[in-house]
Amino acid sequence: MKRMRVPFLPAIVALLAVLAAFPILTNNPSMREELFLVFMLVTLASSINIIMGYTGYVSFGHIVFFGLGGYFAFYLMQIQGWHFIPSLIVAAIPSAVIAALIGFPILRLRGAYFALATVGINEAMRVVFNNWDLFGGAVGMFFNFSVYTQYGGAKAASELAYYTMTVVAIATITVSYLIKRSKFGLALMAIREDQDVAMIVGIRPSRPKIAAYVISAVFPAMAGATFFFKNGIIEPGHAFELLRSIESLVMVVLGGIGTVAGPIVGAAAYEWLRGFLITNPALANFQLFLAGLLLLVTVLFVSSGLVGWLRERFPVLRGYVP
Amino acid sequence: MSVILSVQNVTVRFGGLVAVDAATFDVEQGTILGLIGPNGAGKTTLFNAINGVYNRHGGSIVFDGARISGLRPYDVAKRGIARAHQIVRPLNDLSVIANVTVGAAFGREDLSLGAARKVAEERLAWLGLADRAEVLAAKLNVAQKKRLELARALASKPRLLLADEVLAGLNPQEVGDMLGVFRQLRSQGVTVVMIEHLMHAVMNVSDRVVVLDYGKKIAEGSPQEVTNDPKVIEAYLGDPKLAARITEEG
Repeated sequence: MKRMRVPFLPAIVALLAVLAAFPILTNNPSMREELFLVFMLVTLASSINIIMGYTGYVSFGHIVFFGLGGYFAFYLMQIQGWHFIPSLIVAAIPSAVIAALIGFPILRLRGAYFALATVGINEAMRVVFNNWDLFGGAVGMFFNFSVYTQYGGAKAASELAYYTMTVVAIATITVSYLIKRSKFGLALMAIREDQDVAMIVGIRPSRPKIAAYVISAVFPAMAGATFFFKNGIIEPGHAFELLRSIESLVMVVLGGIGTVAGPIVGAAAYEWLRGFLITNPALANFQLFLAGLLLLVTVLFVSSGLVGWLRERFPVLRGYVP
Repeated sequence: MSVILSVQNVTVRFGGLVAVDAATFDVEQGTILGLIGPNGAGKTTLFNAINGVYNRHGGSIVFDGARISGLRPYDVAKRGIARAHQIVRPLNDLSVIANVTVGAAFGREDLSLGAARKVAEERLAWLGLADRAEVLAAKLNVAQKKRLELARALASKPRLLLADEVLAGLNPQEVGDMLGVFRQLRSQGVTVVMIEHLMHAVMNVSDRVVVLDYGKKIAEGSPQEVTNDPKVIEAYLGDPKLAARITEEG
């Protein structure tokens, strides 16, 4: 809804592209690994923001789509022998269908009930995959090292995963931005503010809500496919890890819920902080404690997050940072 | 003149409580109907029945020749009925202009975002909120929120406006401005049904008045007829003889 003086989207895409090229050009694998993780977290946080920030539904167990995408893609690569890229694209489809099927009943719930339902679904999925032999059961699935030869070796495969994650992150941000500026996005935000009023002004809430949920499921599925392709092994505990879900929520809140830039800033800041804490011998054991404390302070004192706070403090920024 | 809204034997029950009891009246197109009655008479409940919030009611509601009973609120909105709430319900975390754009974009006209924004700007200018367009709706004062509520309803270019106590809490100057808006709407052919407690305002602007008490229609007619109706006086003041005595003594 804001007049844009500097085009945010081209600026942020260019920034990410330059950032992504940096470790490749300087041949710095540890930086590449670090950025791979940041792009993955940006994808997860921006996706959650679409359903949580724009639509107002706190999807606590959103990591379920990361796990599903990972599993479906891994199955296609490992059992069916597919190449990574088509596996990633095809794996997103059942994840989206599942999101639509789940979304239909649970998006009728409001507030805490929806959040609890999403946790339940994530836990249920973990149990399902724990017991499903087709997907390796409790042990999961793992690649034979020779799988990577078709990509030109492990290093090349790692780089392919890195490029893919960059593209997925940029795609997520682009979609998030376009939604925020669209009529569809306005409907979502009206539903977030007051669903009853939204209905009275002529919005039929079920369709946009389900659409938002499906969109927010597709990108984590792709991120999961990429992550587990690079990882070479997938097992239920790792695929449906609730902690990662909660961490993504923290990133959204930290950066600024409901803004396009917030989840990007939040994911980068959170990952930077974690890197700093983990490598600091005095603080390493308190990493999660400090993350929790940070969330508490944000929620209590700067509930609009870093980006939201800046936008409130310096209204001129609103034109630049959606 | 043609009848645009026809309420026939509408009954709304909450468990054993009959909130609206066989209410029946017609509204002619391009007129203002005042809906009055003591607190708890069922006026707002009747609005909720008309715009589909309570879509399981007895009787029938016909809008512009088509039965709208049982439709959901979004379908009713698409047919051109807009609603301004008694307790203002702004979309707090959205800007004022975004609030009104929502009304324009999803109502009867189903406009694109750009076109909706233009309509929204026009409505804000009409209701004197143009300078507040970029402010978050939560930051407005009560009078401004009332105007925002009306601007959002009018942004959909409704054929029928259900205005629920939009004058309550406004100062005389603001009431005068609002009545001006209603008269302008009428001159544009928009039909208005207004619930109002400010008697001089309703009597001043309404073409007809319907009085509800305990969910039943107890009187209907021109403002003049209604104010002289003993049943109406009784509903408001109790025993009409007592009321007459008080009035004399006062």
